[in-house]
Amino acid sequence: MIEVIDAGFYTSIQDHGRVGYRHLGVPVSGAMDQKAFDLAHQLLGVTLDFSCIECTLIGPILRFHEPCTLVLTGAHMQAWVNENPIQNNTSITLKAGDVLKLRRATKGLRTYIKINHAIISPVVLGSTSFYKPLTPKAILKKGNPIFWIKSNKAINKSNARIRWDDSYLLSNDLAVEEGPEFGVLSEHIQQEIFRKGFVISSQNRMGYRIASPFSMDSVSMLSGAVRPGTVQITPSGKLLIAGVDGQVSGGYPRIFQLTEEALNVLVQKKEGDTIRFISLDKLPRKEP
Amino acid sequence: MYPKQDFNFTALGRTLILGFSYQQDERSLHFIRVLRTALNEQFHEQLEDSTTTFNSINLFFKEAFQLEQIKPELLKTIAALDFKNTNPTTLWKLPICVAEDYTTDVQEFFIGDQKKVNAYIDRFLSLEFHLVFYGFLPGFPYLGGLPAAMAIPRKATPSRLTLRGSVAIGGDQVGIYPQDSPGGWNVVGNCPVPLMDFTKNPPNPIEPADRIQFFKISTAEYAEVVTALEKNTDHPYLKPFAHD
Repeated sequence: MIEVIDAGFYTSIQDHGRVGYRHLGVPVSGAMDQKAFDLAHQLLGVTLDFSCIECTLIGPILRFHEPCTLVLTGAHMQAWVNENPIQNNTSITLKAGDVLKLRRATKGLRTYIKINHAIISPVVLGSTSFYKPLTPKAILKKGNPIFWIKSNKAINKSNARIRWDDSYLLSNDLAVEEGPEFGVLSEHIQQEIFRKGFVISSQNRMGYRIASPFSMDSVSMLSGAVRPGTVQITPSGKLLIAGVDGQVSGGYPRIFQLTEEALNVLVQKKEGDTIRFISLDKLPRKEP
Repeated sequence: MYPKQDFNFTALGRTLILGFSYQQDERSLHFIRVLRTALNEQFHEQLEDSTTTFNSINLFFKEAFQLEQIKPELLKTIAALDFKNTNPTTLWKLPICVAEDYTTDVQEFFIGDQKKVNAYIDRFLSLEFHLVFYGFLPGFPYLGGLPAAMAIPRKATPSRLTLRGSVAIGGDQVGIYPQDSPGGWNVVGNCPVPLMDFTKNPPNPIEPADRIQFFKISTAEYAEVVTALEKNTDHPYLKPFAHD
């Protein structure tokens, strides 16, 4: 059992997501940073249970009442077990009574805590991912204990040698493909949008809002499909990038789609950070 | 109905968008539903999900795909679609309470002219809508079939709170709010029966192209349904209202 001593800024349970219900208007949810989420599982060598704890900006303080092994991936937060500083991307063994303390993110925004036992959380439409009101809670709260089912699965020690690369946490470049309505942008904006940096105004799991100097004539269009990483532009020039809890449809021109990798870069950015769009066609091709 | 050349193909990351012109009539909606079902079967292994909007079928692939490679397969399916031997659409009857508390937006629109309000609501209750798709919120249905003359523009400033169950009009679209939410549409009544139960899988029987008609219930009946839901007891209005 995990006792939540302090829940942190915005901490929730997330798994691989609620896949297959978009046709009912249900967003996929799940971990915002899929790369960090996958890495956590690889490092721990666990594949059966997918739930982990997603921490945002300021992490939680958790007391573990039973022993476990865990790993932190994604954003680097100030992190201690009891009073001893710990690092990301390496498995850490906790004794009963140990306190894991995560505080401010120093690099990136979202950190994942993955333990080697199966976290118990209500399953709605095949997923434990918090998404209110489908799930009873949006975030963890102080005093709400987290229970687990003990897993006897041996941890594969060799996984500690998995190569990982956290350089994306420092990247500001978002690789994009043109979206279906890219053509509504004037020729001038089509060029300028790749030359400027844009500052993030606000963000949450539903999406990112980004100011731009562009203004548009209002485009009359019917709502179309939107997926995580779809960039829409509003008439006032605001850029909206859908997150994993974002609506499944949207009524503004879809000018870009972030690559999966770029979405992982974006979700580690916080308010005030600057991002740039890079056309996928102009990126150097990776060797096969 | 849709001739083959009416379709266009674009991609949004791993989502393939099959675009067409929005046609409100039931036959067109039914055609799109049959086509989506066929595509779901055809690409079953490769898909996470598929959705429809007013003017598109969207295939959410698990992996990256080559549009030019899939396009001929899609066109073949469209051409071979057997529209005749398909399940007909279903008519669903949903209770709505149009007591004054639930019609404030329409009252406002007609500046309190009760005669006009009543005439509007009576006509609304006589209409048969069809479900186009779910979007905006989990379980929020976009219903087509409101005559242009009955369109009410979206509010300039959205309301801070539109109550769960609100049946509301945005332009010539009708929607039902599955949860309390900010909203810019004009509330015409309240349907106490939730369209979806997310604790069940699948959570909902009403499909795109199905027809929906509202029938008026009293404030007392409304209260009964709410109580039945709270106490998890039965009520005739909570039973599925499928017809034909």
